[in-house]
Amino acid sequence: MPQQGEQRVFVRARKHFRPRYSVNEARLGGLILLALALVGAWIAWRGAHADPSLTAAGPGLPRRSAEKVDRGPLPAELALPGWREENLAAFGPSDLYVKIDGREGYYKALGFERLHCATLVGPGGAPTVDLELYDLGRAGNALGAASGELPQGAQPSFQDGSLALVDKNALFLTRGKFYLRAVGSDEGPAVRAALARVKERFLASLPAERMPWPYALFGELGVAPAKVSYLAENAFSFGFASNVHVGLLPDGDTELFVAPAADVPRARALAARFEKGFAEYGEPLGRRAGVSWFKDRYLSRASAAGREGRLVFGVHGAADEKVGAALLGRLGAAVRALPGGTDFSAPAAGAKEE
Amino acid sequence: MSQVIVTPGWVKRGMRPNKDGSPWWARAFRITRIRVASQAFFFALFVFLLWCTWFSRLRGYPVSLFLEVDPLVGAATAISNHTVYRWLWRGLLVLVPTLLLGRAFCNWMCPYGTLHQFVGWLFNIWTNRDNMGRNRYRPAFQIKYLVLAVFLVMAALGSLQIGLLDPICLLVRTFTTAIAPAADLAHANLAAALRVRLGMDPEPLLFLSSAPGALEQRVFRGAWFVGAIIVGLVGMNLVIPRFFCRVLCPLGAFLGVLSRFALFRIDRDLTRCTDCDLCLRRCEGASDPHQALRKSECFVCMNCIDDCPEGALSFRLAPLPVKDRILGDLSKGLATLFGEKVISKVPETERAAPAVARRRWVFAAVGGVLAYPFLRLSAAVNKRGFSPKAIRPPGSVEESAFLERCIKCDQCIRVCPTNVLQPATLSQAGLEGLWTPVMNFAIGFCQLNCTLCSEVCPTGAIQKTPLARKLGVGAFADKGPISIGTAFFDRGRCLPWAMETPCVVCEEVCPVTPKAIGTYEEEITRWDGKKVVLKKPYLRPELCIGCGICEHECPVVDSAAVYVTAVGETRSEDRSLLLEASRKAKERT
Amino acid sequence: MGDDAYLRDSRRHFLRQAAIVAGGAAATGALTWALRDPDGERGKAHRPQIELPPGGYAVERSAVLPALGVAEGQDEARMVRAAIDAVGGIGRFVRPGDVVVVKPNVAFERSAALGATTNPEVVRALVALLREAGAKQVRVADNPIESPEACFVRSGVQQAALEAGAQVVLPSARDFDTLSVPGATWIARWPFFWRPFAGATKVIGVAPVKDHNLCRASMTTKNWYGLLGGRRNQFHQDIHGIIADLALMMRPTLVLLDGTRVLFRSGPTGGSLADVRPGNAVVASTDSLAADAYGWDELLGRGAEPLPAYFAKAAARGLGNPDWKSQVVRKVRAG
Repeated sequence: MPQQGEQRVFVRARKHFRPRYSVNEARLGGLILLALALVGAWIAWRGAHADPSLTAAGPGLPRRSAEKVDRGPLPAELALPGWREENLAAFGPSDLYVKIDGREGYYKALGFERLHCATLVGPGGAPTVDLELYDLGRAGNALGAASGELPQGAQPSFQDGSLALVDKNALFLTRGKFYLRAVGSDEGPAVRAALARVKERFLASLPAERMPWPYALFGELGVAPAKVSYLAENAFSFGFASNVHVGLLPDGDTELFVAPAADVPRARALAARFEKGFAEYGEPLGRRAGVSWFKDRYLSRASAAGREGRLVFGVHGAADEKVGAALLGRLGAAVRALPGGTDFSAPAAGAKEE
Repeated sequence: MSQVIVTPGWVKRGMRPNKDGSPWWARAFRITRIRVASQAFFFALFVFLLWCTWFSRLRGYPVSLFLEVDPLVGAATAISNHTVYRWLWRGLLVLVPTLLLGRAFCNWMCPYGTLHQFVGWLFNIWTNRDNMGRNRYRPAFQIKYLVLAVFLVMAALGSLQIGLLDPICLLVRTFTTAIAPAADLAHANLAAALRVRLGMDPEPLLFLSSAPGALEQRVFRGAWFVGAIIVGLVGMNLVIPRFFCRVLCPLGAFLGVLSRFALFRIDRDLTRCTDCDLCLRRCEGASDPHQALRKSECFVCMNCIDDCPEGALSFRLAPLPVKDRILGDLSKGLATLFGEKVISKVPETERAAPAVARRRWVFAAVGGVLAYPFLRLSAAVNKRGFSPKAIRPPGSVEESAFLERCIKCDQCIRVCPTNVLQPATLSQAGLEGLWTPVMNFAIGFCQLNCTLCSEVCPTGAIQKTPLARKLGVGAFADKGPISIGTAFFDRGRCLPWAMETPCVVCEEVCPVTPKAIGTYEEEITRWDGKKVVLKKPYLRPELCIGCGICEHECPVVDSAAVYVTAVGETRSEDRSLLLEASRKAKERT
Repeated sequence: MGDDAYLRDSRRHFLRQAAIVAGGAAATGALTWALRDPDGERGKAHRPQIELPPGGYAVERSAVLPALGVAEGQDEARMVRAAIDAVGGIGRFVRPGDVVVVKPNVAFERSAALGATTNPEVVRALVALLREAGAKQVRVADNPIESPEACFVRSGVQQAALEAGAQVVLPSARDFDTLSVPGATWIARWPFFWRPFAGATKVIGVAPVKDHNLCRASMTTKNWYGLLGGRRNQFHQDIHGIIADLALMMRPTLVLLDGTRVLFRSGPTGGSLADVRPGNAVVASTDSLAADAYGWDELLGRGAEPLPAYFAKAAARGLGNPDWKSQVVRKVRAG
């Protein structure tokens, strides 16, 4: 009915009119359906058999663990029971970018030589811990790299000449010239247990190196490794002040310094010149802890220099002479405690200490 | 205890033997039903392959299969570039059966035809009588042959434009630019609603997304235009049934020309036909089965066979026209044919060739000859005037060869994981390059280790490129990497150069090694007295591959301070920037 | 059912259709097979490559004849003849029936007096001499930087060449083919203005003496730059390298260094008469490096400065000897 037809949107099919049907036609239809099924099967087969070149990893992707990769200095048995180690890989300066594209400059500036990495996978596939062990050639570089990556305000512990910090889901560890960073996939107890194991294995298998003495010395007094610097000349704008190691305390103003001299008479002379230098810049504050203190007329902070053997040491920019004296006392004790065979020669030119 | 199986009433009715004595399955599996099954199968396969054209689903599926079996694609590209690239020989799988059976493709395989037929069937509000009128042949159906002639002549001259109207290209393009992003949007909203309102895991709905894992909603320029076209063309089915297939489709025209000598056709038995015209009721091709069947228009849908109450129509092998065998006077109803009475008053049963007058073919060809220079000379295929922002995918052939091959199917755009490939607008590549792929680095960037676009291109406009060739490593180390352009710094917009502000995002993200962006360090005192070390970027053109990640990541998002143009692309000698690169380009060919 | 005729026709109809279908299918299949391109290699553009004759167009070296012939004077026609006679006479170089290509420098749309192009009178004299020697055809050709027609006309070379009986070959897009120069650094394969060289047997370059802002002097060796097509503007990135390549590309029969005017500064385009001074010399040589070195020392007057780098590069390839003083030079006065 025309009127009804115009109202409706969907219309059911009307029946057809043919009077006769053919068995042969139906048989042909069956064959056609079979052909369609074969086409479908071919598509499914093609889907299951992909062209291997399409799925192969590109030349720049990290190698799969199936290949033999040198473990390098990675200790054995890093994984806890139930965990497994995967994705062993190693990178040199020419292909470091493959692993950490964009950040490679940071490590290359710090004397990067080799990176060994691995992933620890927990039971059932989760959680995971990614390990990166950097060989940076020198202990100073390792310390510098680690301190540059520590979270803000973190206070690492120093033991056996190693810097170590476990923070939430990450472990930062230096051991001699090696810097290890291990990052877990979450902050849960399983990850912390895995990190503790990693730390223990590293400390056990990598040789302890004596931390460079300025880091050890200043570190004991609370100076972060990043804040330890070496001034070859002109320290504190003093023309005579060469070969000075300086550590900046967390307050940002107070500096501790140690300047090795060639022998005791020269040390004596150097200490005297420091005293004279501080005097020129400020007013005397009297003697404390066996040395004369001076207040800088511009910065209003107290400085003094003392001597122990052939080492001149001192405090520059303490809040006042009382605080300074306490620091000086501790610094002096630390200097006295330095082992006899410590090498005080100037660090090699071009070495980054920060 | 015996089990009682209750058969539903409709099944029982369906399984009764037919009135003519043939078994129930002769009706259940009659040819029109098989045809519907075939249409449904190929449409589902088509949608499935489109759905699979995404790196996480790709596996080994032949995702460009429909474009490869499209014989017009193979024939036109063979005409324009004189080769049959890669899988395009599969066009023979449709072409040879067409020689035998006529335009069966149009109603058994073509997904676009299925779409049009389905919409027409769904919204069919007309009476039988009206439908019989709507399905008669119209002279307007000649247009598709003229369109075909224009396109083939242009292809012969070197400009491939069949992609504008080829049904498979059109449907793939529509899906890519309009439908898939819409589906993604719907999925995203649905998944968000599920997760937020109902607290359910939306993971099972992931199949609705066309690009799972894409970081952002995919966008495609000019999608509104493509969407309007599909809505318009599909909507036209309510004016003329199968409008596109009958009036515009160049593939249909191509198959129609090839159907001229088809061995099989619908044959009308003059001794049974009563001229009731009911066969026109659902005739898809409007091929006049009630009179002289137009072989070039018949879609072999078999609906006329289903609708003839006399059973006068059948699909037969090489039926001979019988007009000359009729004895007696037809108009008075006294004629006989082979001793039987002829009922129909129309003796013609076949019209083999398309009803296009010769002069119209000639005019169309002339139109094609004229269209070529008009289009080519206004487009940017020359040494100096090329559009610098028409940056082609890596692995593309040089521009004039590209325009001989690209069928604007947008498969490359579909598979591109970063959404950087976009269909070109008129201003970027002219009418000749409309909907061809160009890069838009404001939207995405070219991933270093990806060659998916070259894998899915059916015609070799983007040649299949192994990854080692793209990166210029291994066996291809002497040729160097493929570059699609060169980055330029706009120092007036760059933060360290013009605004005393440190930034080196471009240098950080540059993926090549050594990096193509270097920096000059300079310490300055800012206007507010702060000392700051600026790293001012500069470009190393020998290393830049034009991937555009620098432009994409540049924080100056209104108009990036580092931008890529097409100069320096390795596929073209004319557009090379550096002498060394130019020499390598020459060695490559 | 039906008569036999119908059956016969029906069968014939079927066979005809079947034959057409089978033939069509077979033809299409065969064509598809013939044009198949499974990996895209076949579809890649392969441009035809040409090569110049091995050894170029040079004639046999002579142990006795001078390497350089210098004619000093003011009458171009007599200077040209005298210079060529000094190195053995035109008969040594051109035989009757030869097709000779004369390559002047017509790079810029400047009148002859400005010294940026070859003196048309020198071209006229040379062409006349060649016709006298029996050359079947003389083609004067160059691919200028500016519009070819305008450059040839404004410089006067077109008129001089045509009047003397030569053909002028102006370049168009179709006239370039890819030339293969084995051993070259930059132009191992490069578009080359091939049309005038098709069928040519002798090649003579005629270059003016010009200062050059990039390579310091442009004379007979750099003259061949005008035969290159494509993106030759990139060669300024290694100008000395490309000149050494040009010397490798083209071994001419003879070069003439047109020293009638010397563009001694603001080259190669010049533009002011103040940049030009009379040189009053024409040099003929089989060795472009020697001719150029003579021009550098004597005509540009820069003997005190070291030679531009391209001399050493080209000499290292064995393409000439810049030490003209050590070779036999014959100087004549020619009016």
